[in-house]
Amino acid sequence: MAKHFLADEMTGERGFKAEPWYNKYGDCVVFKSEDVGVVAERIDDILTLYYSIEGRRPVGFQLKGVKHLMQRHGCNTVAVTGAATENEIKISLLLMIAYDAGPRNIQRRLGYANAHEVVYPSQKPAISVDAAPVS
Amino acid sequence: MRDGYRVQAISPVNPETEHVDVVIPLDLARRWYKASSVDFDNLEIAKEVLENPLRIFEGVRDYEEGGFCYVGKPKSVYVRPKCTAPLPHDCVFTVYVNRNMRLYEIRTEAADKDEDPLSPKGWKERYGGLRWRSTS
Repeated sequence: MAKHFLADEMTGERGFKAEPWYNKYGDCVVFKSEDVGVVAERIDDILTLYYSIEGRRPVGFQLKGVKHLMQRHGCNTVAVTGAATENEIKISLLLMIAYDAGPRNIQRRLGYANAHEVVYPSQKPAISVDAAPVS
Repeated sequence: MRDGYRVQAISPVNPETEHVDVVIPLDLARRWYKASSVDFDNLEIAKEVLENPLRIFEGVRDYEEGGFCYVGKPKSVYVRPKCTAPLPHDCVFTVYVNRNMRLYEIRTEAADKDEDPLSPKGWKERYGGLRWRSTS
């Protein structure tokens, strides 16, 4: 395998961290749960979901225009940290703010629900609801 | 210390006559190296696409002026750390560059299977316009 053209610029160990982070060059928040190549699927102007190329599993998302979103909701800074307690509020909040910024339709609801589940995987993400009248 | 690696790419402003430097920010590359190593590996593919694009789109962001998307169809992409696989036949590889010509996003996307299989799906609605297309 040929040497990576940036190999000499890197120090320390290669690795992976499943944590959201703010990309200042793209003004976007990115989260990936696995260190895999992804196919991006655009849900709307803000949210793009990431699926693994192999197996097409949902493995992450990108939220664009984050500064605009935050300013629109009265926040002056973007703070995304690796601490779980910080993430839990801020990423959820960002997803809610982003969802509120567009039309309410089933495609967007499913997209934002998928993004939420990638960050907060539940042991039982789906439940059956009886369609019969409430008894 | 330099802040970025420069790749000579076709100028999206004067595509017929000029080349420009697209900068791969080293802090972004280091972030990927330490925390998303497949993205770091795929910088190799991104460099290839920047040097030999098939399409260049302008107007890629809603809340920020400028920015370009370079599109290519590499034979393979990294799917796991240091492990490549053929690019899915219905996909293209995209490299996003901000208005300061700094690379900020690289990824595989579904292609527009109906009108132009060498462009990303939805390109007419998503971008400001097609700036350049390869004739070779």
